[in-house]
Amino acid sequence: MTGSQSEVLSRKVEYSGERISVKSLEEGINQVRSRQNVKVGELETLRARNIKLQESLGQEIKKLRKFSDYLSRGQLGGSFLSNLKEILSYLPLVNRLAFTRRSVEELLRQQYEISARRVKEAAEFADKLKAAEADLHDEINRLNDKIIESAKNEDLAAAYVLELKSAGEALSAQLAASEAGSTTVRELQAEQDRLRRLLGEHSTQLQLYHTAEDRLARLKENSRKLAETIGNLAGDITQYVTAASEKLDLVAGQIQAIGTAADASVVMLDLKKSLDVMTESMNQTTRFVSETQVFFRQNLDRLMDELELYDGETQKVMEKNLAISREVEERRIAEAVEVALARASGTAAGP
Amino acid sequence: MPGGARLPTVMLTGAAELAYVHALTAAIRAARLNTSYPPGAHLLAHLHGLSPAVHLGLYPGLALDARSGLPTYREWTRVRTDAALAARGLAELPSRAELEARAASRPGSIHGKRLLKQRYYAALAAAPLPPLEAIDVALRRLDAKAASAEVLVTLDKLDATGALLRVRVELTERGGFWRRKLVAVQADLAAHTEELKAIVYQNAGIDAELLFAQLAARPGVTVAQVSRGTIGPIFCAGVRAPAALAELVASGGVVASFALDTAGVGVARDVDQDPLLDPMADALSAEARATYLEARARLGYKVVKERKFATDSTRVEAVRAFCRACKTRNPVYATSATEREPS
Repeated sequence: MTGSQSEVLSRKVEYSGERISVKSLEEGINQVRSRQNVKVGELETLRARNIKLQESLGQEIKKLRKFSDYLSRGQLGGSFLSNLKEILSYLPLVNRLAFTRRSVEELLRQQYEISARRVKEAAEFADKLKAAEADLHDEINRLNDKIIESAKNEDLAAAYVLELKSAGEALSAQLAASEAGSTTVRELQAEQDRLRRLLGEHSTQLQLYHTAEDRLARLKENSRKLAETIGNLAGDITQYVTAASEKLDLVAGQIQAIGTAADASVVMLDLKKSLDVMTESMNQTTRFVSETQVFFRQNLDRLMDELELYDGETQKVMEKNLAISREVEERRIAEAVEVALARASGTAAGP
Repeated sequence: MPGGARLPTVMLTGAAELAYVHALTAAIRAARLNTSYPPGAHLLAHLHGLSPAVHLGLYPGLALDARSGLPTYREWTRVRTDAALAARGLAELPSRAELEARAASRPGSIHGKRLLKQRYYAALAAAPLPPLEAIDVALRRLDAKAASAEVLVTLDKLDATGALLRVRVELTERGGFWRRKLVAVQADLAAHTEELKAIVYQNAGIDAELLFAQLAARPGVTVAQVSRGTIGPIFCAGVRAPAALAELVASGGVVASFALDTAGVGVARDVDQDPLLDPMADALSAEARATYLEARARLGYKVVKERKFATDSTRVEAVRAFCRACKTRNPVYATSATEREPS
C-alpha cells in the first residue's frame, strides 16, 4: 500500500454542520414541514375570521345603502321628524320606531364607530399576513443556508468517494500482484475492508446530502410561493385599509359638524354625505374581504393539497432510503459472515 | 362640515405630541374639576391611551381640533376602538418574549411593529377605558300622590365644537299620561326617555339658559337648574385663541380652560366672568331679545358664567393679566412641573 492510499484511508473528512443521517434528515424536513403547516393553519384561522367579517360587513353595507337610497329618493318633502322616523330605524341599535327623535349625530357616531372597528380589524388582518410573510422569508433564508451547506458537503463527499474508488482500484491491482496467502495479501485485504467501510459510509453521506439539497430546494419553493401570495394579499389589504381610513377621516369631521347644523335640510344633506362616504369606506373594506375570500378559495386549498402531496412523496423517499440502508447493512453483514466462515473453515483444515 | 369642508386640525408629532399629553394631563389634575364638569379621570384614561409613550409610535401623531385644542373625534374613537380590541389582539399575538426575540435582529420589521403592538395592547388592556359619553338619570324625589318625579339628568358628550362637556339638568316632571314624558319611573328607579335624551343631546351645544328655557316650555316640566361644564378650549400652538393667549403659547406650552355655565332659579344673581364667550342672548335681534327677556322674567332664573384656567407657573401671571384685561375674575392654577415634564 502506498503512502497516498494510506493518507486517503486515514483522512478525516470534515463535513460542515451536523452529521447527516437518514433520521436527522427526516427530522429536519419534518421541522420545516411543521413550520409550513403552522403558517397554513394560521391562514385557515384567518379564513374563518374573514367569513365572519364579510357577513357583518354585508349587513352594514345593506343598512347604509338603504338609508342613503331613502335620502336620495327625494323624500325630504315631508317634515324632518317624519322623514327620520323611517330612516333612523335602519341605523345600528335602533330597533323600534319609538327611537325616531334621537339625534342624527349620535346615531351616525354609532355607525362610525362600527365602521372604524371594521377597518381596524382589517388592518390587524394585514399585519398578521405581513408577519406570516416575514416568518416565511426567514424560513427561506434558513433553507438556503441548509441547501448551500448540503451542496458543499455533497461536493466534499463526492470528491472523497472518487478518491476512495481510485484507491480501491489500486489496492485491487496490488492484491492481484501479490502472493496468495501472504501477509501482504492479508494486510491489503484488511485495508480493502477498511476502504469498503469508508466507501459505504461516505457514499451514504453523498446520497443523503444530494437528497437533502434536492428536497430542501423543493420545500423552499413551496415556502417562496406561500410567502409571495401572502405578501401580495397583505399589500392589497393595506391599500384598501388606507383608502377606507381616509374616507372615515372625512366622515369624522362631518359628524362633528352635523351637531352644529340647526337647519333640518342641512342636517339631512350632511347626513346623506356622511352616509355615502361611510358606505364607500365600507365598500373598500368589503372589497378586500371578498377578494381575500377568492384568494383563500384559489390558493389555500391548493397549497394545502400540494403540501400534503409533498408530505407523501417525502415519506416515500424516506422509506426507500431506509430500505436501501437496511439492504446495504444486511449485505455487509452477510459478506462479513461469509469471510468469517471462510476463515474459520481454513483454520480448521490447517496449512 | 356643512358643505363637506374638512375639520381644521393641528397635527402634533414626536416631542410636541408627548409634551401636549403631559401638559394637558397636568392641567386637568390641577384644575380641581368638580362633578359639574366631565369626569377628569375618564379624560385622563383616554389621554393615557393616546400618549406616544403608550402607542409607542404605532400612530404618526395626534390630531387636535383647531377650535377646541382637544384631540379630534377620530382620535377619541381610535383609542376606544383599540381598547375594545386590545384583549383579543393580545390573545392573538405571540408572547412578548417571543416577539422580543424575533424583533431583536430587525426592530424595523413587522415583528418589531407587533412587539410595539403587544406592549400597546397590554397597556390598554390593563386599564379599561371609562366612557367619555354617557347619559344618566338619577331619581331624587318621587311623589306618587302628585304623580311627580324630581330627577337629575347628566349628559357627558363630545361637543360639536370639539370640546368635552357635561350638561346637568335638575327638573321635576308632573304626571299626564296623554303627554310624551321625559322621565320613565318604575318602582324607585328613573330612566330617561328617548324624548329627554334627544332634547338634551341635540341642545347640549347651546347656552345653559336656552336649554333651561326650552325644557321649561314643555307642559308639566319645572326646571330648577341647568349647568353646562366644558373642558376646553385648550390653547396651544396652532389652536384658535385670542391674540394674547395665542402669543403666550406660540412657542410651546398649554393654557387649558374650563368653563361652567349655570342657569337656575336658585342662583342669586347674574354673573358673567367668562373672558372667552359672549352670552348667546347678546346676538339676538331686538324683537327676539324682548321675547327672551320676557321669558327670563317669567321663568325666574339667573345665570352664572365662570371660567378657570390651568397652565405652567411661567404663564400663570400672563393669563391673569389677560383676564384682568377682559375685566373678569378667574382662578388660574399652576400645573405641577413633575406631571408636566415628559419622561
